[in-house]
Amino acid sequence: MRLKSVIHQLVLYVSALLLLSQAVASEAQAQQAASFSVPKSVFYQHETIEVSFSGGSGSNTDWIGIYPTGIQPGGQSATDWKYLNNTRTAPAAGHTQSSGKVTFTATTLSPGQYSLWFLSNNGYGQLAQAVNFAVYSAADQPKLTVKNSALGIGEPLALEFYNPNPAKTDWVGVYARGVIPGPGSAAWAYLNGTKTATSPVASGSLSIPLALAAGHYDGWLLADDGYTAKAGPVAFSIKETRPIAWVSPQFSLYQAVSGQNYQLKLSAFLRKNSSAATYQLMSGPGWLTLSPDGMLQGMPALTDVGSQQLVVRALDLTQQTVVDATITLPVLTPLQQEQSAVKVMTYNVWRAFGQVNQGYQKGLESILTSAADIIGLQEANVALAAKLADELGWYHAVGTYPGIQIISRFPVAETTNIDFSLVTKIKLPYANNLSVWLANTHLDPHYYGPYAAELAGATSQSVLIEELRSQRLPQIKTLLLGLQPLLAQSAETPVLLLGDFNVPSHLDWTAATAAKRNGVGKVIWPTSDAVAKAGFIDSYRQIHPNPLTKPGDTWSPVFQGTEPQDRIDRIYWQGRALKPIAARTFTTAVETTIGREGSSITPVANNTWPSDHAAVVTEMALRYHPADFDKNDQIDSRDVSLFRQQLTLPVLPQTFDFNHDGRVDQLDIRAMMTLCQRARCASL
Amino acid sequence: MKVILLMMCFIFSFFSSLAHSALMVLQPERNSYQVGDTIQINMKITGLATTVGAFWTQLKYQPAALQLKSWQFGTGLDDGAGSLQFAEHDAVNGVLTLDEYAFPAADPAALAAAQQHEMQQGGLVLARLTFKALQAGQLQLAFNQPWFGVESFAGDLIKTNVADLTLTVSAAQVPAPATLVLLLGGVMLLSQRRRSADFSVGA
Repeated sequence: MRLKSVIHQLVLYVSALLLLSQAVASEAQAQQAASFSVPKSVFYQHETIEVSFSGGSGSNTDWIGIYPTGIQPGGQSATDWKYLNNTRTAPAAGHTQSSGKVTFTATTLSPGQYSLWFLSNNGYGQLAQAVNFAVYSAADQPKLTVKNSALGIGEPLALEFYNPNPAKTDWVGVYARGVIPGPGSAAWAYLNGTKTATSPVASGSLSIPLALAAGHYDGWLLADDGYTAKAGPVAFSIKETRPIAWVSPQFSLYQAVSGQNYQLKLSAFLRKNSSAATYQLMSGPGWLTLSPDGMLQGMPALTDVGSQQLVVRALDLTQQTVVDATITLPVLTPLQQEQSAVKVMTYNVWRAFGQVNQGYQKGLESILTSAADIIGLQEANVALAAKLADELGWYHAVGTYPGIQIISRFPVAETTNIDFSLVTKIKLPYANNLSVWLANTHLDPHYYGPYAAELAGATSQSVLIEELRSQRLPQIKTLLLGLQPLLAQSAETPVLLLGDFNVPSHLDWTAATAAKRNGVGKVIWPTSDAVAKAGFIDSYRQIHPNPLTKPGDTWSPVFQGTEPQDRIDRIYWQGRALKPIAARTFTTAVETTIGREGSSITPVANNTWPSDHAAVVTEMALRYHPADFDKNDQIDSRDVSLFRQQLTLPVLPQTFDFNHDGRVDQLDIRAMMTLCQRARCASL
Repeated sequence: MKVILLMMCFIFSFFSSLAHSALMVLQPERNSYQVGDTIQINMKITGLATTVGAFWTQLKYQPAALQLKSWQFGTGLDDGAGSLQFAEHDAVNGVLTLDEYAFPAADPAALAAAQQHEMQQGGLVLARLTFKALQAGQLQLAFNQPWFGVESFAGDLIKTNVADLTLTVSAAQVPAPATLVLLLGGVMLLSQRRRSADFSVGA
């Protein structure tokens, strides 16, 4: 009997302990899950303090209280408080909110430092870390106003500011409309109107020179060399008032293909002003239409194959201006399309085209001139890439690291990020539905090896010691590791790796080139070596094998003088389905050069080329001709035999229309035989 | 007079159109065969107005009645340096596919001369086929239209009609002398047996 009682009591104790531990655990869990925040740390007395919360103890009487900083809840009455339903009346039991907003009016608070507390169940149990904020008098609120919110191109931005608690490194930044301040402002100045901070300025006027394209922008008053907003945004616009004009009175468009829908946006070819332009097709082939907003559309027939001419008129109804352009539109057969190349470009856009006057327009026109189809951008930002893509009627793969973006004439199928690099799958315009992976990167610019090679007594070893101080090798190793699954599939889906590597290639630093590099000859640059060992082929060096006669320097068309010139922007490739057929460095006119990097860039502000790097363009074509059925790089009688067998299939791609008559049939066999490389279609 | 002129124009145009319409025929060396005979057939084209660059044909025959022994391409598409020839034979279903393509780089004058010479002999022979007759009856050899065409050397399709072939194969006849010998032999045998029977009875 006694034993039974002891066991009974033991069971009761254990049960109670279990219940207690569960209660403690659930409370801990609730506390862990609870969080709250305010959007900023400084409020002015006329503002509303909006507190976002989630989680809690699960009680209907959890509450948020405001106490002077340093006072613990319970030590004195809260300065202000509310339940989570944003009132001082608790909701009915069981009606708890798991997330929401509670608002307080700062007018009820005297200027000073305060803490917000998330507290449980009408008590003082702390559910989340307290959040501190300051309340200032409304009179102390910094202000920023724009004197003229509608500027012309090249006009400076005039501002007035009031900054009652100034730091000497408070500054004004200009960003594209809607962009939250961060690295890469479009224009900026300290409050003394220069780019050198001297002393704190509490109020005054400010004029910031702008070299921006027409568009909508925001100005922000920002704190202490950082991105915390003290005031702003204040909106202003830059208007283009010059008459509209075509980039060139005569130009060519990207090719159309017979039997396939064609669509191309003409907008990029027109230098617009701030009025809306409209477009008219004055003459051209009957299959083509042009919408008033500049979209060319239609489907050419086989009889349209060749060079089509059209005249397009652009009208600025506001300024009563009319300009015509004569445009060439190549129309290819499906077979010709299959043999055409895709032009891939790597383009460092020098701080979002922001370093030269009208940089955006010059950058856009440089892309049109290059005829590139797929572009890996470095030093861009999301807004710039989006704007370019929109203007060109292209696709945009958005990089999470703002500087690295990809735009493409062809559809973007997938996008991912490896470390800070952007990796995008792009569908190519070929009949076999081939896609390509494009990895765009921009490696660490510090500890630049070629500078080390300039030092007296420099050797390969001393250069490499400098190189290895940088993050480039670990960065490229991370990227290559992340690319491994794609590289394993490169036979089916080729992989391109391009970007600003900020390091030369081991293929360029050889004994033969030592004379131009202070006697430093062969250097196995670890970064380019790692890329090569991962199976990538340097397209430029593949096409131009001699680094002495074809250095292919991309750094720098602008910084010259004693600046060491080198090929640090490259396009690598691997995979069996594609091959490079041409590669070149690319710039538009560089009218003015300056000395070493670090020289004033003011003299190059009017250059046509808007970058300090040269771009690189590689033309990639299908590895195998459509007639090379057995893919042995030879069109011969075996391929004719294979094609003949294909003719029994019910549906065949038009890429086999070797005689260009619009049908795939036996009449294509002898036309195909004209493609044989050896006499009488002999096999090797 | 006008009527006569009109009729003459009509007749001239009719025959001239016939002259320019190519016809693919199967020409046997004889008109009739017996079971067990070897049948030689020329596949030839007549009425050509241009040089042939290629042809592709599919012939269907009755495999129970005919056995394809061999085939051979003609020489009209070969300028002396060969041509691309493809042949496939499905003996079970009785389908023979024959394609021949002159090389685009072949000497067009040599091809034209060779083909003209054959045309003057009664048609351009594209292939020679050898069958063995297995059954008696009306045996069909027909062109399978989906895989049929004649292409000019310039690469255009030549409008070509086809004429299928019906062969008459009769059952093999026993030669007359042998029949007679058998008959006489039989009579003699019977009379001899009767005599020996008579003798036996008599014995």
